[in-house]
Amino acid sequence: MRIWEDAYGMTATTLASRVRATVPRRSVQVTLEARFAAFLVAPALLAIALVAFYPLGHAFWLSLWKINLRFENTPWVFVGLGNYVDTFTDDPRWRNALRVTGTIAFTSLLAEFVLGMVFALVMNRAFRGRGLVRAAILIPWSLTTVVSARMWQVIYHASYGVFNRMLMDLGVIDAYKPWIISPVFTIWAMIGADVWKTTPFVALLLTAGMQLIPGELYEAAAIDGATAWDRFWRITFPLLKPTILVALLFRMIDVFRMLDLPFVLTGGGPGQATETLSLYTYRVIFTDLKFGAGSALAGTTFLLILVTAFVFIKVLGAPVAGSEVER
Amino acid sequence: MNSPAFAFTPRARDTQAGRRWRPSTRPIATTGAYLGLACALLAVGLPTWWIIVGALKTTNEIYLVPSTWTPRDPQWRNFLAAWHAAPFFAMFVNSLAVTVAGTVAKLANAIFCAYAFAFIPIPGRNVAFFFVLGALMIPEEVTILPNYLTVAALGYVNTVPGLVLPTIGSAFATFFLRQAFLSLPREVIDAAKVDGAGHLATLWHVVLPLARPVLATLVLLTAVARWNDFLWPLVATSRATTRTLPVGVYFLYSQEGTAQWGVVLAGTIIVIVPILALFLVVQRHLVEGIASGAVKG
Repeated sequence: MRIWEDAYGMTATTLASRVRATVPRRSVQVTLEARFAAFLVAPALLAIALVAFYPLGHAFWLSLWKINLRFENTPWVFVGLGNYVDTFTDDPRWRNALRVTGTIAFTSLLAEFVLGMVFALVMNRAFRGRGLVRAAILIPWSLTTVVSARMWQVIYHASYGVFNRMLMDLGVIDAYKPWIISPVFTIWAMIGADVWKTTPFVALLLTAGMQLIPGELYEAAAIDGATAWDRFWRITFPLLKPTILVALLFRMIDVFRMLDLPFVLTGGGPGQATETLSLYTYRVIFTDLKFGAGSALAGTTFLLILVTAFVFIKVLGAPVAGSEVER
Repeated sequence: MNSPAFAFTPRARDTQAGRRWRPSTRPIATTGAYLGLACALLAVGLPTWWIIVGALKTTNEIYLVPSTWTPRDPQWRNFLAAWHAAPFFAMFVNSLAVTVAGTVAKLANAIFCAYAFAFIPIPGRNVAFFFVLGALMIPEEVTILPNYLTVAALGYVNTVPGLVLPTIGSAFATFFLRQAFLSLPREVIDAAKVDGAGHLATLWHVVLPLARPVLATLVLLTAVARWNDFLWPLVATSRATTRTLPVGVYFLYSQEGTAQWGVVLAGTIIVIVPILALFLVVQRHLVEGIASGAVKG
């Protein structure tokens, strides 16, 4: 709220004063302009209302019912918030999915941001062929997940996977391991695949943020004899914090939606070892055809995202609305 | 933009500082940087290499232990076999239509809306902007079933409009563009107004050209997301010829299975080539575009 008021305030004042100066019949002009603005805004708002907010309401409505379309002519039974109560109190599979998603969120994001920061620092230096390198390391991010998931399936394969061969050659393991069909390794193998895909993108966001830090700061620090370590922790990191928080928030929301990687790589297995919240929700809705219970699960995820976003914005101070706009 | 406080730093001091520090720190830092780069490129390159050679191997060679790093006898016919194993042409057309229509519709919505948000004071603007921000938080799990029911009620299952419709909401793009528009130099836009340019003229001749890196970035982000989208096309299609490429390739696997790995991998390569091409064309704008869009302040 606070953050974009100034920008709006400023815009409003400048425009209003200009209008006052040039157009005598100000109110007519402003009304026309407002009408025109409404015309510009309407399609986008309408689209958002139709494909995001209306479905949100519809999903909430569905979540209040017990619906099972697997059996024909089963009547809808109104259960109020019963589906939510069931989810919270009596659903070990949901708790498992929450744990899986939490593990992925924590580990994956930690690895992505540490590695992404290293990449970004390296890429931010001027060197021959930087453009090419930037393009090359972004390739994993642009690859279709279905494709990269297939690729990791081949790489991780228990009996002919090249990952096993490499580890054997390096002497890390003494026998081939079933990376994606073992309850112990699978989630870590999946996190590895996710980190591989998203680290470049995080690095890109961080590089973009680094471009906004004035180079003079580093020169001044160099004159004062600051080491590279000091320069990172005293200049880069603090000034990059807003970027980091926004990127973390977006990635966090992404993890809550993570479906295609487990869907293709592991099918959520073995058992439910890699079943994420969104994969579980998808299955309840589209495999079990329990529209009510599934909608309640989706609603619960939405609540989790809201809480996470709230924590990021209020507690950590992520400037999501961001309009400390530089002029 | 650099803040003016730094503008008067004497140039001589800069170069002096450079000279004083470079000799001691540079060799190590440079070596470290190149080493890091090499690791990064290797980490990216090896798996990618693996999928390419996999597509060219015979099934027997894929199952070979120890694995071979290059195909012994490149099987170009894997591509042909993949192309014939699924209706790739139809799926390619579907993917292309969904990507182009989805990107154009979404960006058109976002550009007009963001322009109004950034430059025209209207009552209720803050409320409207909150509305957009709120939509950012709604995950696909929530919207997918209601959207499916709507699309099914309209009779749009298995059609391109059905695939495109739920994707034209543009919360992120609107938010991103608004940030970028607000950071454009105000004076230029005011000058256009003084010269008598209306809003549409200002948007077309001033704002959009200035925001080119951001637009390129958004086109890339949106097109990549549309092309690679999996969940919605999976739900909204039920026939091989109406699927998009990612979903088609997913089903190619269940058809061919592990007996035809080479064919499956060749199919996946067909999926990624077009989007890689777009990516390589547009990527040079990426860093600058993101810098003036979402991550700014």
